[in-house]
Amino acid sequence: MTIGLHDSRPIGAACPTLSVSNTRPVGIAPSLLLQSTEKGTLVLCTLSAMTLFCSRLAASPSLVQTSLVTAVMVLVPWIVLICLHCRIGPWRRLTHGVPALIGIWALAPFLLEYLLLRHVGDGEPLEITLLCSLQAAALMLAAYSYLRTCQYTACLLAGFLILFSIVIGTAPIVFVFAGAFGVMMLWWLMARYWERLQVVHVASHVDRCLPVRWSILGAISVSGLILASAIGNSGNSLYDLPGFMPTSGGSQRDDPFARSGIGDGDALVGAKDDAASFGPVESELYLESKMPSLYDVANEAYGEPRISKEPTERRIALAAENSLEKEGRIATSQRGGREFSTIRKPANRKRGPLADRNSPAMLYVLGTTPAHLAIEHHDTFDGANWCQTFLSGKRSPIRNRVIGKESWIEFQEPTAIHLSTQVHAIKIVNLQTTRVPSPHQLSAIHIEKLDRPEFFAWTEDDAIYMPDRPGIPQLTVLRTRSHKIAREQLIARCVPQKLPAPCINQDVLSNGTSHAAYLNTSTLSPLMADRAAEWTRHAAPGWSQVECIVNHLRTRFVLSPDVVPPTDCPDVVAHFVKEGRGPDYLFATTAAMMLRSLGYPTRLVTGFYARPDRYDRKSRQTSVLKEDVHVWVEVLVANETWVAIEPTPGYEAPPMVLTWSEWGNRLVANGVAWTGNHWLGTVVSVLLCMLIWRTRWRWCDTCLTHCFWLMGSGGPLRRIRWTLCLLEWRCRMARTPRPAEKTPRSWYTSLAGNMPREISIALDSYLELVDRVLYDPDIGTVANHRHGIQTDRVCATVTRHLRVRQLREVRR
Amino acid sequence: MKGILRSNDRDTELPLVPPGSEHIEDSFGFAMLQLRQVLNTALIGKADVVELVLTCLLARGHLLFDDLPGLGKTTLAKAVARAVGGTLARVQCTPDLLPGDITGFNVFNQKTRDFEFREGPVFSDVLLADEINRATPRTQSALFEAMAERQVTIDNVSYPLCQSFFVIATQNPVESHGTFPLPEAQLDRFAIKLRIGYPDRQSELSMLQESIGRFAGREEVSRPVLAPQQLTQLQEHVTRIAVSPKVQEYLVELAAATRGHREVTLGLSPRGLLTWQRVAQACAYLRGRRFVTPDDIQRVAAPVLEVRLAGDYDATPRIVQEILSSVAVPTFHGTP
Repeated sequence: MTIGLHDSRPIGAACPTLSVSNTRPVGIAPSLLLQSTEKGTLVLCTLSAMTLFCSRLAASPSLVQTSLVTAVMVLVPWIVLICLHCRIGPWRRLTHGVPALIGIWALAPFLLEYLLLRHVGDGEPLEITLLCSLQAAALMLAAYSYLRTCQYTACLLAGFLILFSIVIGTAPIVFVFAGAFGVMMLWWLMARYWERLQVVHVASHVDRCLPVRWSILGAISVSGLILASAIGNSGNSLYDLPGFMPTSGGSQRDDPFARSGIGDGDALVGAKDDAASFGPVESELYLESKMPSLYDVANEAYGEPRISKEPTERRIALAAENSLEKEGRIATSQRGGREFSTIRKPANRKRGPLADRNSPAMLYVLGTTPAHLAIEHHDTFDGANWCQTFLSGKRSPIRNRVIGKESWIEFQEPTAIHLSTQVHAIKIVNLQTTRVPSPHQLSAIHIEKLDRPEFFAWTEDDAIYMPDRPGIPQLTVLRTRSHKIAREQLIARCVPQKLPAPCINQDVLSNGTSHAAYLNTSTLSPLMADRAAEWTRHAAPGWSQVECIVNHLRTRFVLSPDVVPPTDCPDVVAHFVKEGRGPDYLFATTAAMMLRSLGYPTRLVTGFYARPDRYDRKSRQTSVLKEDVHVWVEVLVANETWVAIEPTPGYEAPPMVLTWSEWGNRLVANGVAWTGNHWLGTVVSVLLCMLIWRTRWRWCDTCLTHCFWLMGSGGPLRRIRWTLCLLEWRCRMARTPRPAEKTPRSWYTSLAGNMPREISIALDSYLELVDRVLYDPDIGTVANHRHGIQTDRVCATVTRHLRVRQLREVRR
Repeated sequence: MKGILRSNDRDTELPLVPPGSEHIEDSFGFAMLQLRQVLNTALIGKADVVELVLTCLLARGHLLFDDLPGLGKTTLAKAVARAVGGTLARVQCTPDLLPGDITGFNVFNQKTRDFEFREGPVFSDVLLADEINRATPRTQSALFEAMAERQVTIDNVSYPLCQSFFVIATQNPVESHGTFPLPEAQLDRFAIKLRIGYPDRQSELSMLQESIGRFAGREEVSRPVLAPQQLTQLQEHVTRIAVSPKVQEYLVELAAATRGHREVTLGLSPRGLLTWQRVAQACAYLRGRRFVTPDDIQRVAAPVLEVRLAGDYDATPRIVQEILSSVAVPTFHGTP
């Protein structure tokens, strides 16, 4: 392999005119030949601007405003660069007073900040404004990259901005841009090196057998990918990158800005057998403390007397080796989110006493959200209050079942309307109740090491609870399995039942069928019953009517927790319907009563709603707070399954399994609804898309042209090849691809039949060069540096005049 | 001897270079320009045929005209012979033509009491063999031996022919009675096969106009453009035209395509492949290039292959086109 310079002469010995000078004074116009490093400098500054934009996004007062400002900051220097090198627009004026122009552009962010503060009221910290000023200066300096001083300064500022953005930014996209900047900077350095060789040494030709630049970049990229894959798959990234990446090793203080780390997890109670814990920590360790626990250990070892737990509750016996003895106070964490690893280095540094980490959450949920977690059911509405007065009848037996290698306490077997299973994990934190927060269609529960069905029982209102204890012990983790319902089956099986006679005496009903209680509409006025019939007059009897009522409430009524009926209101449902707004329990009450009037047994459910917007990406769990108490309705289907419905707007219904057609219909309906709500944006987007579609070839052509022009830097031979590659791509885009059996010369000559004379001449010259490059075995010894500039001119002419549009016209 | 004509313009000295020119290439270019002009004057309206004839001449190959009578074959042959400053011999092939009538024979001289060798028409610079398919295979083989070996052997004595020996053979595609079709193995001796075809209307009008006042037998004799040894130098120069490995691979792929075509019974031989490359080199030279491109190969594909591919005669142009369409020209694939 020979890489070197042949016939190199020192500068000054009859060298040809150079396009770039190291000592070019200000005011000189740039050359027509846009060097690749000049464009590359502006690309680097654009990348740094995008990185800074992503870093600012989280703290920005207005996304639209920030985006617009950044777009203008980036586009104007690009326009200046194009005007200068393509000799269009006021390019002559732009070459004068360059320092003043750059200075004005650098001060523009301050002016803009003042205007926004004065007229809009939004502002940003001074540090951000200073950064924007630097960014603007870097971009405008890059536009004047034909002046070497500007080019170097722009690169320096871009590098600084990238480093600063990495430090202040937390979004992953910041690192993507930073990585792209690094790769681009490598390319820029190599391109600059080769350009300097061409400038300093007048070489007749340069032999390169390997694409050095791409080889280096490719090797670095591949190494980086391999390293990232290895580290990512090892699972021990924190210990594999000591000294390279900062890690928060954990300390007394919990730092929310720490990127990663296990914190003080190794000092907390951790699982002994199952170390791969998720957010909630499963613990089957017995703690010698006064905290309530599901476990107990008989320990006859010599030592301090055992701390007994009061009051005495039902517990699972554990083996003695599960007992963890700790000196000193053991800290507890109600928060989740730290992963535990059994591979730990011994803590070498001294640590102070650990503080408890409390959480305001009632419980944590791991699994799909939204999730309705039922606590209580109510069947009787007296016009103002809901209560449970009737027995629900037969309940399925509670039994232990082994699924996989785990013991599950099963409560409900799947029925015909159940299609698939989903799993949740619920960690009890501050919720003090014996009732198990049950996801919709709960079928089984698993608690580690607990395989005794007698730990659970049914309440009178069909809820699951843990008897003989004041409450579920804090930090207990329950894994639940629940069924998903097939909507198709609901439609087939849900039929309205014959309405019982209006009953006033509740004692009579207590001895009757259990379903009659759920159809009691004695407190519903006939007007509201008529209203229910009117809302469902177009729906077929069955689940469609249920959905009709629910959709009507969700679309025509507004959720307003503060709008409550007066205390002496005789008919809260009528008041709610009249007002058109109210809290969630009025939505549920209205839906329940109206559905009862149509013949569907319903009951009210109170519990918690795990909101999707409370999902924490770091800990991968959803916290449920006190404010998430919610009320909804359940409908009895086929006399055996209670199906939850969600009539309150802003809350999502429990997911159902849809058939493809149902899914498609729902998608279309959601799309139409969304389009109706965002019609202006939709129209603008459609128009924009149409405009982009009509001009797509121009955009593609422009992008390809710039990319290929950048690629083609590095010598006349390379330029010729990449220009041919561009022409081939353009022909493909114009749907006139060159047939494989035709040479470029014959093909492009046939396409250029009606072109003006000067373009035909340029094309002919270019095709001669192509023939030489492709088929002359002695091309290397004949290359002449003088031809480099001529080659660029010829290639530029061909590139400019043989565009996709012209090729498509020729095809016509 | 029946049907043999000969002209002697062998020893004319020619001004090779225009005044002031120093490079031999420039002189060749100037001579080729003159040669082209002379031949186009002789055969009006057939510049493409003239170009191929020149290509064949520079490639040191032999030419087969497969065309109807009266289209200018003999006129062209005479013009070529005159232009290269050589002698022209014409042989009208008939079934009773003997091999000795082509190559020559020994005659007993009673005065010297020894045999004297009388040269046949093959010892000329340009030999025009009319209706070669009417000669017997024995006579045909004598000519083909001379074309291939550039020498004749008579009574165990070899007589070399001149270096610029150039054969223009003709045959009538219409008549088949009393003919001996040339075997495929012998057709390979020819470099290209051409059809002149009828001239266009304007060319015919020009031809009629020029014939006014011209008396048959007293045609204006033009000065030769090249001497035979200069032609030899030119032919040697053409062999040095560069052919890149990619183009050679392209040639080989085309040859393989000819052998694999379903309608071709006998594909291109290695000798034919060499001939094709040589003719392409000549074509590149005539276009002013120092290297051969796939365009040159495609341009001479039809005349080179038509003389060699065995199969349906009428379908040969289509077959050649299919072969060319089935092989991709060498460029770079993907990104350069």
